[in-house]
Amino acid sequence: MTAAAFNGLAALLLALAAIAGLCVGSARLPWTVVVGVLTAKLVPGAASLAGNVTAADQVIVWLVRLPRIVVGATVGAGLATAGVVMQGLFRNPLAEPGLLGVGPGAVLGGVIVFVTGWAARSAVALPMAATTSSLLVLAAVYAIAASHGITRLTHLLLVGIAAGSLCTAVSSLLISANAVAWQSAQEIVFWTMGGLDARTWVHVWVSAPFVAVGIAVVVWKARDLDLLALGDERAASLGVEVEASKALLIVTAALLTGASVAVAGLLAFVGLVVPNGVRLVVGPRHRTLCPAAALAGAAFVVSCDLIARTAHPPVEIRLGIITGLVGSPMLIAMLARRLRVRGGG
Amino acid sequence: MRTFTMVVVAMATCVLLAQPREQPARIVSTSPSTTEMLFALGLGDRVVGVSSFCRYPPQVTSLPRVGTIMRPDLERIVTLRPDLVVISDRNADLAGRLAAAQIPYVAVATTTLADVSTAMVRIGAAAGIEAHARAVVADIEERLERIRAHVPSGPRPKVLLIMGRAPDSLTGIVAAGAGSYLNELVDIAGGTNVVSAVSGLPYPQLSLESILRLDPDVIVDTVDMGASEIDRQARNAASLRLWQRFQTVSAVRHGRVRAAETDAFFIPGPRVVEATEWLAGVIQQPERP
Repeated sequence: MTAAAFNGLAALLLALAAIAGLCVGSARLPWTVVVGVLTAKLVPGAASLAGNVTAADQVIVWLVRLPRIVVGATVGAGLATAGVVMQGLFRNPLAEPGLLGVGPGAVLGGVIVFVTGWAARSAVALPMAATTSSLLVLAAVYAIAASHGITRLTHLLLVGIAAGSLCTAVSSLLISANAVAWQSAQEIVFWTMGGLDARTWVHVWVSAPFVAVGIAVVVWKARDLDLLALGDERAASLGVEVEASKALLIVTAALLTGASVAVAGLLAFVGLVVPNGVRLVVGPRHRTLCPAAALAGAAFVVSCDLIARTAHPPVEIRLGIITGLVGSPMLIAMLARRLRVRGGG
Repeated sequence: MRTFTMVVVAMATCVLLAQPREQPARIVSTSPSTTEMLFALGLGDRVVGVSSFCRYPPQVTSLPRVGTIMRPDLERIVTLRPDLVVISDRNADLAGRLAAAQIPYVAVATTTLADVSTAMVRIGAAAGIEAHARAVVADIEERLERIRAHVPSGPRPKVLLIMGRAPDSLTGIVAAGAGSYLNELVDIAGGTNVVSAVSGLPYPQLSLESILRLDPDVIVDTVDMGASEIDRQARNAASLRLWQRFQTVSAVRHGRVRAAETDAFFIPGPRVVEATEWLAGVIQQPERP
């Protein structure tokens, strides 16, 4: 399959999942109402056309369903791109954003906000704290791992894993050491399982700009990523500013991850399954891989979220469970097929 | 002429005062305690949606469900076209979303007994019946004071209220702590909350070891209440058997481990009186030799 065909397919899946997500929910709305709300909101001067749309319909479509889909797409694109960067930099298909301690760092920030009670007072506190603490953890990891201006990736990886474990342990300690009320502890556990329920436009604004900038940076640095795969010396001899480029890419991956975890919790596997799956189809060149993975990530998360909220009504299954449940068999299937093709050829 | 002006002014004032404030007619409640408050305030017939956990009063069982206190389903709430939603003050997320949707709401706390009173007055005020709400609250407070007045003098039994634990085992025990309204109910009923000495949290987790050391005189286990009366008795017997191994605990030795008989224990609302009365009966029961 060509990259163009793959992108077309992913875009189609994303569009279908988004349309289904707009039309399906606990309130039964005919699709004409959904279209009415969207035209009234998106087409200037069309508000008068939407005669059959009530205020309640507007709230459901515009304030409940749409932000959830947009956040899902943002998070999927962000995590998948972060995964592409990490796997490219570490030249290892198992690398994922969590390795730098960024994911656990974001969770720790979230847990602190829950424990101190800020989360109960302001809806913005949680995403802000999660993003900030993920960046702080990354800065610490980088400062410790860098020596004499050279950053060995193995050092970065080890320090990152250790920092991540520390953050996870501190989070668990805060939750279990009676530091929080009963219900808050439950809330935290729910949040760490990852989910997109109750997302609002606020969550879009605190994540989408970071993710957009992050993806742009990765596409811009795609050639560097390709060359870094040949090794630092080769890359340097081919004109790559190795240290600067690595630093920029790692910060970008962290930003993408932090912004995603901040608004959706920990979504298992998205940063691992999507880039690897997409790489099998469109190949390893980052100029094509990165946008394709971002698009596929968005389609994957929005589709999984659709399953999460419709599979078992009225209870919502946590999105993190679905991404793991759907993602792992998909990756295994793709790998198995690839191995058979190779074995046969 | 002056008299005439005064009469006109007086009449206008009367008309203004008599004009009923726009009262909400469709109220949605997001937790059992606020649902019970609404019904106690006489607003029950205006409640059009309740939380998934609401069971009391019985007529709520036929009402539409809108999810749980921390994770309500905004879509369902909006579909019910409410003109007042009662939410938890811990749920800033929901408050922001209701504000964005221009749906009036009142956010209340229910951690302490004072919170419960304040919550009822605030809900009453939001529903345009503040004076009535104050009267209802005053009545509840008076009934609680009456229970307190009947506590016999003498040593106060040490009471442990178990609010949660793993089913069929004494692990993961969560008790009512110093910061919760249940602590106050124990005090009113004539006991001392044994946990308040070791933790200031509303609902601390306790190890079995620390419970053995605290040596409560009375244990009330509210877990495994069961759905029907027969079911409940079987579960109560099972709960009591769990404790029998620990004869060093005064409550076990003297047969004063009791399973709760009312779900009012879980619900910081108007039925605190009912819960306290039951508790007073258990605490003030003479010790079995």
